[in-house]
Amino acid sequence: MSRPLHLVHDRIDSFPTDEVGGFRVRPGRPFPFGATLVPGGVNFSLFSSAAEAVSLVLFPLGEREPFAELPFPESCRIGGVWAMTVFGLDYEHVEYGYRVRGPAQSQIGDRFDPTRVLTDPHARALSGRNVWAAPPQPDDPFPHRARLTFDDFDWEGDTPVRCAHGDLVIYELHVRGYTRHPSSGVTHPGTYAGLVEKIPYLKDLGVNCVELMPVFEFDEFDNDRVNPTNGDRLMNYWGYSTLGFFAPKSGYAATGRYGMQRDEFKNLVKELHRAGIAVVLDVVFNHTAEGNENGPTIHFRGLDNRTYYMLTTDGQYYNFSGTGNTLNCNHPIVRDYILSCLRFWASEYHVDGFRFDLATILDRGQDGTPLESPPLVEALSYDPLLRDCILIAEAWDAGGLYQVGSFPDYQRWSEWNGRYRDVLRRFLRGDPGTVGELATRYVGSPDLYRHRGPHASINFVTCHDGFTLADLVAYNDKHNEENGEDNRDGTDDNGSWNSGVEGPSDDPQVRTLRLRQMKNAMALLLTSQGIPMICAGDEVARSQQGNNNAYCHDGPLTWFDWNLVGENEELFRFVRACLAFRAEHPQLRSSEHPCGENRDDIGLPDVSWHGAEPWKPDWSDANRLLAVMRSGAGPDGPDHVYLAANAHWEPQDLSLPELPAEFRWHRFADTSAAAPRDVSDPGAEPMLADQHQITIGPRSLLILVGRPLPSPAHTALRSIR
Amino acid sequence: MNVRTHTVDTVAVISLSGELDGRSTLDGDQVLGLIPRQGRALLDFSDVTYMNSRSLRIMLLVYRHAQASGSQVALVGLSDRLRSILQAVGFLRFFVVADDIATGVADLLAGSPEASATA
Repeated sequence: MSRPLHLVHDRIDSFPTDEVGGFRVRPGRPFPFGATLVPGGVNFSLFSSAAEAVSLVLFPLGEREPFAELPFPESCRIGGVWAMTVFGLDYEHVEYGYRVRGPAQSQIGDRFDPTRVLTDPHARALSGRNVWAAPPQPDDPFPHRARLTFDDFDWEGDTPVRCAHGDLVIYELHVRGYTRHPSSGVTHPGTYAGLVEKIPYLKDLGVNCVELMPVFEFDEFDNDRVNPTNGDRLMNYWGYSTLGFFAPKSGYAATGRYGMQRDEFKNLVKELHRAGIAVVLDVVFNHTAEGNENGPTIHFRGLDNRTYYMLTTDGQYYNFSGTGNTLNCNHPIVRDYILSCLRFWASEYHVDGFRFDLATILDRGQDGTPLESPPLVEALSYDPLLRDCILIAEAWDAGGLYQVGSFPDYQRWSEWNGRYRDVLRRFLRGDPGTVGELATRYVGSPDLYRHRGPHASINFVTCHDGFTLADLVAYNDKHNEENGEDNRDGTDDNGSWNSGVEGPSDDPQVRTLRLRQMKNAMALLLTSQGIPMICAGDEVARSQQGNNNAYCHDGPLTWFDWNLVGENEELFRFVRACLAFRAEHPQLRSSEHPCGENRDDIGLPDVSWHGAEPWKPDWSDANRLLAVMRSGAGPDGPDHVYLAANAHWEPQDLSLPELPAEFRWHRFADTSAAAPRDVSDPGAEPMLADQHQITIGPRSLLILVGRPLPSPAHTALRSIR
Repeated sequence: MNVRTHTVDTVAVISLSGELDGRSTLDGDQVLGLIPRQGRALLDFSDVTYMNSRSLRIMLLVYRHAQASGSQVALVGLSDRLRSILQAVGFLRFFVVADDIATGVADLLAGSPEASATA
């Protein structure tokens, strides 16, 4: 053997110099913050701007009472950083926290509480919720303890997926809900490992990016409500209430009980990358799990309350997040904290990007005022480690700030385009006065993103928050009674239409219309310029029974029922074909907005608008027909795509725009046609018998593709074969 | 941790037993010292009742070191639980795993591509 199998190697400073509480220690290294395994011991480092004394509290793994409390000697403090290396710890069987004492004369906003043991905000793993929904110890005063973990992992040469942003197709999913249903058939349901087993499905569908709803450690029991219909305890299922910003959710790991959630999550990322699928994390930096004045003291509140939270002049919490507190994102300390956190996930876990929940809070100043050049957003935009990461803003917050199209972007950020979602829904419903705006959204919202390009627009029809696609066409109103708030929670502005009957229906006409409307939505979404995002399960018509705010339900209501893949195979096939079609037509993914000119010198403008008659679009409020032709350079020559979407309840006869002489129209999709004629495999579209006229069905959508006539040589070759 | 060795044909069968937690971690140096350089070894975990994450890492390090020394190594006797953990964290694909000692020895003697593959 070439060298001993020490996990870390000796250094001249790997020897203790002092003894505290029976443990050998030495002054530690301030960086990195958190607990780091070093030769012979563990380096603990913590920052507080005003603490006067800090103790390290050590617990045996899983036990209620600590076995040691080690005050940091004054020699272990540099500035506001307390750092101490402790030797001889059995680090796989130790949990830790901090007790922090503030000054006797506290300032307004300080909330030091030395009766509490605080969680390390830099903890790389937390215990307490190792197994999802396992009953916690009753009245445990310190349920979220930090654990010591290994950083090493064999990435086998993995690198982040360097997919051009414009080529992304995002698929938003909940790690647990995706495979927890008994029908998933995976070995480890509801876990990171379970998701690995579904990678072939993702590949088959054709998405190349998963956006994982929050995977930072949170407490699934952080909900006091009960389901009024059955008395069941409701959960914090979605996880938008972070406990540990550096720790992956342990309860999502099959190996969480063994403290190996970090390895399991890394393996998930590695396997997704191996399949060419990028990983975007939904991150929540607008608030924390500590809530308002009445919330628990977990970490920031007892460590440095007036640094980490936005406070009013009398020390109360601003509530721009709607959850009780607001992280003070543009304080220099908090800015560095968030930046180091994202760097950690990008470098340590190889994730490819981040979607920021309620992101406008990231550009509020310390008094809540929106900043023109928010330091945090600027720092994230120019950070070297994050350079290739996709950054996505949910550009609104609960304080009324709405910045879709105006989020400070530094030419780096994309946005969830809420206006795309809204107009597409209203168009599908048949609302008047939507065609003009839909046209703008369809080509990448140049009114909003003229300087940034269409890839700034994350187009979506549905997401985790709101109706699923199946419910969008089956419910006029939300049905959140089981959330325990008398149906008051959740938005009332859904832009939905129940297709004639509220809720489930056996009426074949209603069911056919709903299926057609779902196809219409998917076809529009997947041929729009911008980056499309699909909410997991929409491709197989997953319903949440009209609940548009299912954050609290951990059960069949929110789990992906894999039986739907077979039951709704027609929709799955349609969506898969649309994704393949998008992949085949680069102009739909172009990084430039179309300009209406003959840009690629192929005889037709890159975008042209039409109506029942070619070149005669109707932008009047009464019109419900959008027809558009895209022409550009394709992989094998000129590429022409024509889409007509009819939101009217009557069919319409359309005259088609004329193609160059050697081209003919072929039908890719017609949502009014029964399967399998509703969609073709890209490249195998049948040629239209009538090249000049076509009828579009009621509430239907057509996609045609212009293909060149086979050359005589090809025709001759084919006849020989 | 207890370690016993015996030889089956020319294969060193290294049998580990005990609970490999923080108080009795897998001794990688000891195990590696028992693997013949450029030879063949079968690590038998049939009597290992528990392995902590550190021991799992050391197991992987041993495996890598042995391969770098030109040795061929396979594992046998993984409990369902251990196999499940290794599968969930992706470590399982690094190892050649046999169902029993006889099969493991036969695979190694046959120089199966899997047993000599670089992880």
